[in-house]
Amino acid sequence: MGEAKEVIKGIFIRYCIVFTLVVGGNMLVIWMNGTQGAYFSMSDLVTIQIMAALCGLGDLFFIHSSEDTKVRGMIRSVIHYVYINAIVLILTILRTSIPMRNIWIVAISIAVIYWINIVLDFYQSKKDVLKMNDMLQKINKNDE
Amino acid sequence: MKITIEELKDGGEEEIIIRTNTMDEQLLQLIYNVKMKSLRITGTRQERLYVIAPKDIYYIESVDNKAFIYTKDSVYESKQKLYEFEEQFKNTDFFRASKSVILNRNKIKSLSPAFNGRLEALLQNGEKVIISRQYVAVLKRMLLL
Repeated sequence: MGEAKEVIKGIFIRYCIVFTLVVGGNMLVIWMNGTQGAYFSMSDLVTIQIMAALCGLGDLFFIHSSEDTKVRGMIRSVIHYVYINAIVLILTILRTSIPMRNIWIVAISIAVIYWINIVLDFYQSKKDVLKMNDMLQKINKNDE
Repeated sequence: MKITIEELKDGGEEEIIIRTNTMDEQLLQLIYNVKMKSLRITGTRQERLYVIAPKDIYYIESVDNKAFIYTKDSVYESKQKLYEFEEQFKNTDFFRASKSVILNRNKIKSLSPAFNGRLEALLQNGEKVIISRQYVAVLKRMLLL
């Protein structure tokens, strides 16, 4: 049960990160382009939420279920990345008015957001590991 | 704390009863110490049967439906299944590190982040064991984070 809670928590965190980064990234682009009157319609927000939810669910199959060797884990990560691209690009083409010639901008955005996610994950992991190593040192000292 | 000792007659089974208003850290530690001292694990090596103290076990790994018990310098084979060990070591310093490994927290020297949210545990004998992503939270809770 505890493991299921951790998985659900992980998926929810992934959903929030993706949603925030997509909305934030798009707002940044809009601001940088000085696009007058640009805004997120309800349809855009629903699309982004669907994207974020599907990306989060992808974690279930590609990340939380993995008990692989390093090589198989890397292959699984590549498939995960392709999956994310497929979800976002298909939804972008079907539900937004972004022209096909600008789809490469979306693909680059996906790459940037994906790598920001990986970096955030890594730094969180590193932070936790430092705390855990401190605790292990105290425990090992007490046992001596 | 009042301690009462009654001598058994006629070879009855030894029993420890703890009466308490609330279970606290001290009592849990006492129960854990008694449990660990009374647990005895057996394993075979080179066709000889050995009794292994839990405090000497680094980790237990399941491979091809067999369990292998790793101590500092030796490996023993056990007929017990991994879930049976997990049940025996419940509420002790042993925890499930992956689908096929149970690890002794006391034998971990240090941790480092590994690929995809996993952790790599460096043990006191220099061996490295991977802790899967879904079991990292278990270790975190054990270390009171």
